[in-house]
Parts: sequence; C-alpha cells; structure tokens
Amino acid sequence: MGNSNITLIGFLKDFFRNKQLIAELTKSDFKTNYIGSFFGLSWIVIQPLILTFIFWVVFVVGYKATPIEGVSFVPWLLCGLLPWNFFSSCLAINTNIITQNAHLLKKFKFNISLMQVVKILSSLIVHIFSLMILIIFFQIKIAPVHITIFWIQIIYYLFALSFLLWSTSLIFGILQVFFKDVTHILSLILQMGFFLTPIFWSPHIIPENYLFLFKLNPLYYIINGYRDSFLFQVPFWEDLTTTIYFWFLTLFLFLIGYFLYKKLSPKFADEL
Amino acid sequence: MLAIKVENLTKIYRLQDISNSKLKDTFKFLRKKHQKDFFALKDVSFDVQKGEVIGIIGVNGSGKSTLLKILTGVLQPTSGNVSINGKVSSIIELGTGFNHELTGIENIYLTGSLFGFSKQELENKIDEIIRFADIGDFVKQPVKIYSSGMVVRLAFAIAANVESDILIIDEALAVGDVKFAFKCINHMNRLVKKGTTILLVTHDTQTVKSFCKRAIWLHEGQIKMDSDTQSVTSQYIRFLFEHELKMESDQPDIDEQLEPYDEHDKTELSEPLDAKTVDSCEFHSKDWFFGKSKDFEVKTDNGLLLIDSHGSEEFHQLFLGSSSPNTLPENFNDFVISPNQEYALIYNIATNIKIRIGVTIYDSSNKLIEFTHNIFSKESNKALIFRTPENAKFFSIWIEFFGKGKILINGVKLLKINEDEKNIFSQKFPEFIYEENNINKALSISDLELILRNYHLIKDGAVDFKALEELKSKSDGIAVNFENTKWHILTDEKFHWKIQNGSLLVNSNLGNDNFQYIWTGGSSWLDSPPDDKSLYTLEPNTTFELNIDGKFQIKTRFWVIIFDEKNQRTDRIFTIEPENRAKEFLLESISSLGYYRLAFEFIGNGSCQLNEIRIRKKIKNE
Repeated sequence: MGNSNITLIGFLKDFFRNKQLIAELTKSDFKTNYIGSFFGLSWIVIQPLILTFIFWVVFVVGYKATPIEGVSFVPWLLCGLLPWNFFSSCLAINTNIITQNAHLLKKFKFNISLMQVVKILSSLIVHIFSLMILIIFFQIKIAPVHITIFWIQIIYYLFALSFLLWSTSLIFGILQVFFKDVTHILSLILQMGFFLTPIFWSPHIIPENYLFLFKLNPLYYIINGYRDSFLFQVPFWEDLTTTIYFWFLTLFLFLIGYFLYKKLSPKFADEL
Repeated sequence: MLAIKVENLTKIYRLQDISNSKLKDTFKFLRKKHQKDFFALKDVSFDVQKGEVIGIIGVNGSGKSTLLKILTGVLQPTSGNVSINGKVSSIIELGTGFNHELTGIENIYLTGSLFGFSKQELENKIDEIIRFADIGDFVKQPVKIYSSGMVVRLAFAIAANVESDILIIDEALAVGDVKFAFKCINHMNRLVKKGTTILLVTHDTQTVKSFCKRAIWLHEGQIKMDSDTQSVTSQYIRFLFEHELKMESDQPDIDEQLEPYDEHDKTELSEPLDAKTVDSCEFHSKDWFFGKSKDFEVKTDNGLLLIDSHGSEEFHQLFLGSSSPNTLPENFNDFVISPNQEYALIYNIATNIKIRIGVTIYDSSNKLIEFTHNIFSKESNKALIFRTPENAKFFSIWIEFFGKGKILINGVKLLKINEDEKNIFSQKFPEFIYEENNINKALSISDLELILRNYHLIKDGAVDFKALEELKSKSDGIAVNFENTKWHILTDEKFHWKIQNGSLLVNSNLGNDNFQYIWTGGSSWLDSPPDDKSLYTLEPNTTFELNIDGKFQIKTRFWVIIFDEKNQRTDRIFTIEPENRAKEFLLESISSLGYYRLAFEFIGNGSCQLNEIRIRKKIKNE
C-alpha cells in the first residue's frame, strides 16, 4: 500500500494510472448512497430543493431578510452554504476513510488517498447537482439572477475547492490513522470555521484593518469566489493577492500531505 | 527462472504499553527506547521458481500471514528484500472488497478493478466468473442478501479468474461445500498446468500434501524447514505432538492414566470389532473341548496336546470352542470368518492312527451351512484349503479320531490365503509320524507355516531340516506381541485403547482432523532412538517383510522409524486403509546397524484391532 520511495510525480501518476478504479469506486460509492432508498437518485434534486425552500421560508418570508449587497438573501446565502457543506462533510468523511477501509487496504495494494479522491468526486457530483438546483432557483421570479459569462468561473472555483479538499483530506486522513483524536479536533475546527467563514455574514461588516485575518481562511476565497461568479460578475484575478495566497497555501498543504503520505503510509498496515 | 526471491526478510512489530503515543513513535526524534520488538519475521530467505507450487505451513502466529502480506505488497518489510517477477494476485480474506449494497455483477466490476483490471478485461471474463461462482440469479441481487457461502464463492470466482503469474492463497480452500472445493482444486490444478506460481498458506497439512511438492515451515518468524512436502509435513506434525507432549509432561505417568478401563469402554470396543480375527489365528491345547465319551487320555506337554486313544469302536472328537460340531462355538465372537475367501487350516499333528480334521461353517443365523474335512493317517496333507461360502459368518474346528494309538497336536492355525499361496498350500507334504521320544523334535506350527510358504524346503518328499533351521535362524524376525511390548501414547479423551488377548484394541472418535499416535521403544518422542536398543535392533542391509495383522475401520498408518548408529533417523510409513485386514509390506533396513521404533498413527472415527506385527527377514522365493 505504502511506498516510502514514491516521488511527487509518481504519487500523482498513481491517480492517473488508476483512473478506471477511481471511476468504478466513485460509481459504487455514489450508488450506495442512494440505492435502496425509495426516491433513489431523486434525492440529489430533492435535498437542495427543500433546503433552498426552507431558507426562503425562514429568512425571506419569516425574518423578512433584506437583500445583501444588492442581491436577494437566499441566493447569496446558498452561494456560501453549499460550498461550505460540500467541504466540511467531505473532509469529515475523508478524515476517517482510511480507518474505515482498513479491510481493503490490508488486502489490495493501492494508494489509500485514492479513496479520498473517490469520496471527493462523488461528493462533487452531488454538489454540482445542488448548484444546478441553485441556478434553476435563480431563474424563478422570486430571486432573479442573470446568467452571465462569469458563471463559467465556477468551474475554476470547483477545481480550487476540490484541490483544497484533497490537500486537507490527505493531512487529516493520514494523521487520523496514528492519532484518533484528529477526528474530534477536526469537528471543532469545522464548527469554528462555519462561523469564521463569511457564510451568514458579509465580509463588508468586518473592519478593513482586520479583514486580512479572515482572508487567511482559504474558504473565504472560495465562498467569495462563488458569490463573485454567480452574483457580482467579478473575475477571479481581481483580488490577485488572495488568489496567490490561496494557491500558495493549498499547494503548501498538498506538499505537507504528500510528505506525510511518503513518511507514514508504509506504516499504515501496521497501525490498522 | 525465479518468480519470487526473498532475502533476509525481517518484519518487526512494535509492542507497546497501552498508550496513544503512536504518532510520537512514528517520528524518530520522539521515539522512546523501552519498546518491545516483536519479530513477526526474522531473517527469512527463500527462492521460488516459476511454476512452483509451494505450501507454507506453521502454527498460528508463525508469521505466515505477515509473509503473504509483504509478498502482496500490502505490508512493508522492516528490512530485507523481496523481488517479485510477474503479476501477483491473492486470495486472502475472501469477500472483503465487496460493497454489500451492490449486486453481484457490480461487485465483480468493483473488485475486479481493485485487482487492477480494465473494464474491457472484466467484460471478457464476466461470463466465466459468473459460471464459476454458480450462484444462479443471485448474481443480480445485492450481496447483502447472499449467504456467507455465496459471498465466498463469488469472491473466489473473481480472485481465481484474475490472471496472474503468481497466486497467493491463504486458507481459502477451506470454504464452501465439497462440490465447490472440488471445483477450486480443479481450477488450481489448471493454473498449475498453465505455469502459474502458487503459494498456498495453510495449517492443514493434508491440503499441502495434495497440492505442493515443496513446503516451507515457518515457526516463530523463521524458516524451520524448507524441503519436500512429505518430510516437512511429517516433521511438522511430529513437532505439534512434541509440543503437546511438553505441555502435558507435568502429568505423572502416561501409562498410569490408561489403566482404568471400565466396562463401558469394553463394550464400546467389542461392538464394532469381531474380536478374534481368523485371518491368522492359532489354537492351543487349552482351547480344545472334548467329547462326552472320554475313552482316551489327554495330557499337555510343552503346550502340545497329547492324546492316547484306547481304541474303542467309536469315533472320538475334539472341538475347538464348542462341545459339538453341530453347534456354534459358545464364544462365537472369537470364531468369525469372512465370506468368499480362501482359507488354509494348517495343522501340525503327528499321529499313528486315523484322524479327521474339519471346519464347520455357520451363517449369521448360526445355521450350519457347510463343513469340510481332511482325513489322514500315515499320509497326510498339512493344510486344509477351503473357500468360505457367501453367507459364511462363524466357524468351528473339530478333530475326530478312531482306533488305538497316539496323537500329538502341535497346533492348529487358520490362515487367510491368496491365490498363489493356495497352490503352495495344496501341495502334499510328508507327515510326521508320532514317536513317543520325539515330542520335542516336532515342528512348531510356525515352522509348518514356513515350510508351506517356502515349499522348496521339502527335499525328496521330506522336510529339509537343515534348510529349515537355516531359514528359521534368518527369518524368525521380531514378532511384536502387544502384551509384552510397552506402548506409549499421548492421552486424548476421544481415543481409547487397550490390550486384550494379545491384541491391541483401539477406539477412536478423533474425527478427521487429528492424529493419535501409539508408539514403542520408550516414552520419549520418536525423534530419539529406543531406550533399550538391544530389543529393537535391525540387521543392516536386509530386506524385511513386515506383516501387520489386524482389522481396521479407520485409516491407520504404521511407522517404522529406523535410527542408524549416529542416531540419524529414517522413516518408513505404511498406510493401511480402512477395511483392510492383514497387510504385508517390504521394509529395507539401512546399511549400518540400526535400531527401530514402531508407531501407529490413527485418524478418523471407529475402531481397529491389531493382532500382530511381525518383522522378519525376507527370503527370496525362487
């Protein structure tokens, strides 16, 4: 399973070589989530639809939430909430995924991060479906948002988010094998992160002097990016410093993850 | 061409106190020194040629699984090298790759991908896999509703159809029903023919024996033996017993524990057995019954029966076992005979009057169905040859005589014979005329048997006594009498044995998983030469004839363990299948002077009875 001599290129190549296995596992992971339930795959549509409806009822009808930054509240909120949910739930699962699949790892020789990639991909599919619902929601009269060329940017942000997710999954997932407390630490971090990330609040309420502190959170960049693309027609290169910072951080985290994999993966089978 | 090369492989597991400091241990700079190292594998080296089928045996915890996991690449060795030539696939922990929510077919694709197959390859194979698994329409159902047998079959079908150069199997053949196991074995054989290298890990020596030419015995992480299957498995089994012996050695005396043998065991033993086999049995003076009119005198001398007939006008009779020739012997269980079989009644009777000897045969309802007899006086046949009828069950032997004179009954022996022997035994032999002063010179019944079996000892119509003496000195080997030999055994609740009437009776409920040994030559295990060497000596460079006489309901193996002067050990193993009666084997002794020990090994449920083991020098028949 593990290989302490693996180079970074070799590590990445592993995933290309196993693309068929990844596809097969993703398919099976995707299926098991919905198979057997009465509504089956339609849950992919029903879930975000109902979520959106509830938010609309609670915040718009109930609290009479006023548009933020000139945009209806619900689309604005969902642009923050959906990527956050994708990120947090997937990271929580990926942290425990190695331990959970110990039986497979003891039998087959393959890169364990493959399982994480599989989980990211299958979650990504669900996330994309949610976004499509969001887009449809935008089109109905209650909260009209116009389709613009900037929406294409969302592909870039999806990639950025997935990559960040992979990097963090690697670190937390590998450490969790040796240090079971990581699971609990992570859930604390995620709870804190939910409030430290501008999901329910606008970054504009933060004094300019302290904003950079919030920008250290890579999710800030992603959620801002979602809103910029869907709602504000702002290109991703406009805030160049944050973009560079985000990629620098993500790549740095990825290198840490790779380093941990290289050092620790040979010891997995002993620990599991 | 080498398929696998393993060099100085070592795998250390770190045992530690209960703590959560695994992370710390992982980083060298924080590692504590007081950890205990456990060597799962210690300096293991071996080569596997391409196409070889190797069994790896060892007790639990001997490092078998660790070795396999390193070979499959799942585990990393602590030190040492493993180089593998070709694609490895493994059948370990069947069914672990399955997603139980998915259907059988989907799981074939999933597991196949885990094995590293492309979709295309799997599509080509799927029909064969489904056919092999043979689970019908279940293949379209989710795996969660499968029985455990089905899961295993599907898993095996996938793993077995993975084409690879090296196949590693861990205890996988022990699953499934007989039909499927047979299928698996067939499939394995096909793979072997194709040249697949197979490593079979198990602790079942039987599987290893049937499959592999070579076996590696792992013990406490080290290779204890790496040789041909037969020698490795026998050493391994012996080791297991030795191990057990050591554990039980605090119990005082093996023999003492065996002594109490209650009635319950007795009936259990006698039931499945016909107590006294007639394949070869001798009757002595004490066995005879005499008719009512006792117009003759009987005396015994040196175990011989001497009858002085006064010559009345009627016949007098002697019976074996019963009081009349028309009734069944009272102790009829001692007089059981097999149907449809050639027998020879050998008698050594010297007389100067007319006598008749005969055998009466009864069926199972005790009805007399046949009798056959010989009349002789001065001229005589020394053996009465007859064939038992289809419904023969019991027999009795009688002697009738008439006239005034003397009869010396040396002995009577009933012997099962084969076609070749029949010809020899039906030859005419000179009779031994009774001479009062010559009682001691009379031949013993076994002498007679020797003469009959080697009829070239007859010269000009008379016994060549010189040749006989020579033959006797050479051939009267060692007959192991169970009563006079001390036997040893490891006690097992499921195994009973006792010695009765000179026979060894065994009653076993061991099942087919265990062997039980009974051995001679001291209580020490069979690795060392006999305690009293003088009793167990074999002449060098000689072929011995080994005759085991008994009845076997269970599979029995007879071991002759020969030690040379340097205590180097050689084993000869003779297998006696159930339902066999007497069996002869040839045994060649070693070139130097040797000592031997004997052991019986039993497996299965049932009884067996051992009447005699005779080891004697083989005399070449012209």
